[in-house]
Amino acid sequence: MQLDQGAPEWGPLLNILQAGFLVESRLGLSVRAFARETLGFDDAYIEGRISTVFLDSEPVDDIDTALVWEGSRISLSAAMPGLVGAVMRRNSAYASFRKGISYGDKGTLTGGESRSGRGRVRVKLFNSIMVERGPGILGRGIILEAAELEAALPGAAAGGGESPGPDGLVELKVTPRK
Amino acid sequence: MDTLLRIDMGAKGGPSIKKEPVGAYAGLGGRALTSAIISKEVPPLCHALGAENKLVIAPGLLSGTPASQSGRLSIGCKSPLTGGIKESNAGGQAAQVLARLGYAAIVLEGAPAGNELYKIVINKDSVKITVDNSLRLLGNYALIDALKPIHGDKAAYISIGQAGEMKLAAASIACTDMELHPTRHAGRGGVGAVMGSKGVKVIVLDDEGTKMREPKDPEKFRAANKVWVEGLKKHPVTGGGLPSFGTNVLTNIINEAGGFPTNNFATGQFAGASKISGETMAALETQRGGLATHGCHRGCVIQCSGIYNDAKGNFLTKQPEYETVWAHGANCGIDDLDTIAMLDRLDDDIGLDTIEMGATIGVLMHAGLIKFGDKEGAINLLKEVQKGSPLGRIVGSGAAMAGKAFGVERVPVVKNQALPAYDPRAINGIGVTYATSPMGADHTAGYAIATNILKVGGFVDPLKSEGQIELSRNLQIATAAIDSTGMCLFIAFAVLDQPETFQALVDLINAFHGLSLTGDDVTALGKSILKNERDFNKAAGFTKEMDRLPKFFTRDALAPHNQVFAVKDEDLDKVFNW
Repeated sequence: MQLDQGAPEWGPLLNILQAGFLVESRLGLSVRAFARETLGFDDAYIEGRISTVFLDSEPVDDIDTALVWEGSRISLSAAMPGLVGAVMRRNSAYASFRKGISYGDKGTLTGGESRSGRGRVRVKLFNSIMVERGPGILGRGIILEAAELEAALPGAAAGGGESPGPDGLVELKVTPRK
Repeated sequence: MDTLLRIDMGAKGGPSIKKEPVGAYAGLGGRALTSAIISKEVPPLCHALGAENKLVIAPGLLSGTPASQSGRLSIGCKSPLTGGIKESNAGGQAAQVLARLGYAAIVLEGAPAGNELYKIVINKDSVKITVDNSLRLLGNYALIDALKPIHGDKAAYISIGQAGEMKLAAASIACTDMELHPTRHAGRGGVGAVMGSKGVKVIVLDDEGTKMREPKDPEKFRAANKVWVEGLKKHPVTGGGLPSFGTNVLTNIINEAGGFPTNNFATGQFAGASKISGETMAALETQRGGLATHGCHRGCVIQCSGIYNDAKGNFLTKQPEYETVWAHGANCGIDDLDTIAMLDRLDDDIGLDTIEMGATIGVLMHAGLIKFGDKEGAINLLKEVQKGSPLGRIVGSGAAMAGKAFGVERVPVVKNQALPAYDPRAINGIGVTYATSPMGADHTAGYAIATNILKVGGFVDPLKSEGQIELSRNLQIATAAIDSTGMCLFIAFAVLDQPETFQALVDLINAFHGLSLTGDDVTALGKSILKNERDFNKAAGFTKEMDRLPKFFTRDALAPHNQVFAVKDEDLDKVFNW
């Protein structure tokens, strides 16, 4: 479904972005390639702003070797405060503090069965990344459960004449109202 | 700032005042000063609520100057919660006002023979101590409302609520913020109970007629402060993430990392995290006419706090911190920001440590007294403390006491002090600091500071997977030193990433005091503070077996990573080998 939104109505939609949503993507991409190709981020933004990355809850240091599969959950954040915030940063000087949970520590690749072709990946955008790039992501389109959309924007799906697919999901594309 | 103000609350004929030069304590501020006085003057085996204990209230070396972020106030004593030495610090206005009044510290000594309640008023000309039993059992908010018409809205107030008067082990000491709300607390370790044991309800600090403290080298100081402020403003954390979302910006991150203790440390992720995140809170504050970006004291450029209004748009509390949101939120299974804000308000009013209270309520939920997620039940438990009921006194005495009273094994404490908002099974490194800090479990004991710039204890290779012991040691040393400056620990991020900002901090201290400190001097200061503190604890009966996490952290794997705390005991024992 297509929504036109003015700035005052963006709040509930941005909350969807931090709770998580699905996107269609090529599978087997590195985190960096996923951010470029699927989310539309440029290299300067990836290097300069995305300081903290989680893949299936594992903090990632090397975004060129961490790979995104069907069913993966990728979370993106700017630099965070606190010792533990610093610990979670990519290539943190304090990375040893998270020994055992960092991407690669368990010696297994994450993801489901499908490792090629296209599939759905869950994305969470936090803090400054959510604010700065959320509108652009919503403009490219996201997939979410109908119940999540109803909770965020009551009546929006019904008003737009949309009904969820058999999997209970709806596609949402939002364009900024001029 | 070269005077100690000693007040003997137990003197014959009523409290007596003595002003004396700092003498052997010259050059020390904040935590360095509180820990030096406690370790030298307080018998380690004394009762924390007895006359032999002392309560030391000290601004930092840079407090009361124009240096940005220099508003932290250190409060030290023997802790009634841990039984060891304690330094707990707070923001707000008090540190700057006390420093401008010229005091390196206020030292409350002795204990009154009777049951009188005292008010201490300090201005540039005098120190007056009066009995004021009309203040008895007032909450901090009502107390400040009662005193404002008498002492004005320019003063800074240091006070205790009902919990401090009842001498409960989780009692805090409140400092007023710029709006005169008693929202900034020296929360940890029961320092409020020690103030209560001295019979002091409130200290009013009035700096009318005083001036900013003058640096030894004004030109160099101004230049260093300019670089310092620029560094804080340009850094993405201190200039962006913190001002926009507050410290609660961490909720989504720590939850995603699987280290967000939920339902009394049962699991590492909370399904309702996005409902209580900093992003959600900031949007709600703005929508209700509050503030998502605000400082806790004048001169703050980071502005990590905010104003939380209720649904009708009326002030309820300051923006709850990340640790508070975790403690009263995920740890209690509560995903409602208004409930968390109300619990924060009650903590501030009654004068309680929010971390200790969240952990305690979590233990009581685990015991089945109320259910996880019971919002009204959690609020009622704090009201029991306010009333001083037997149940309330157990709650106000902290998680360890509640665990004993209700027969719970999974009690998240070290040295009887509750663990903060990061599960050490997911983040093993912070568990090293929790276990070994002389303060008990404390997330600020080993904070992010430029260990590799300072080369505290040698360079640590960030690519090595080992090094948690070395890093924890270095962080604890550096943090102890920073705690002596009066600087907010959030400066650490800019200092960590920007060498010129670190240099500006050193330049500020040197220009103000006419010193030529180096990184080695900072290291030596941090080590000497920790040595004082550990020596005190040892003499108080602490052993290496107390530098351990509770057993369940090494036994019960934490989802989603299914990991336990795996650092060996013999490695924990090496933390202070330098």
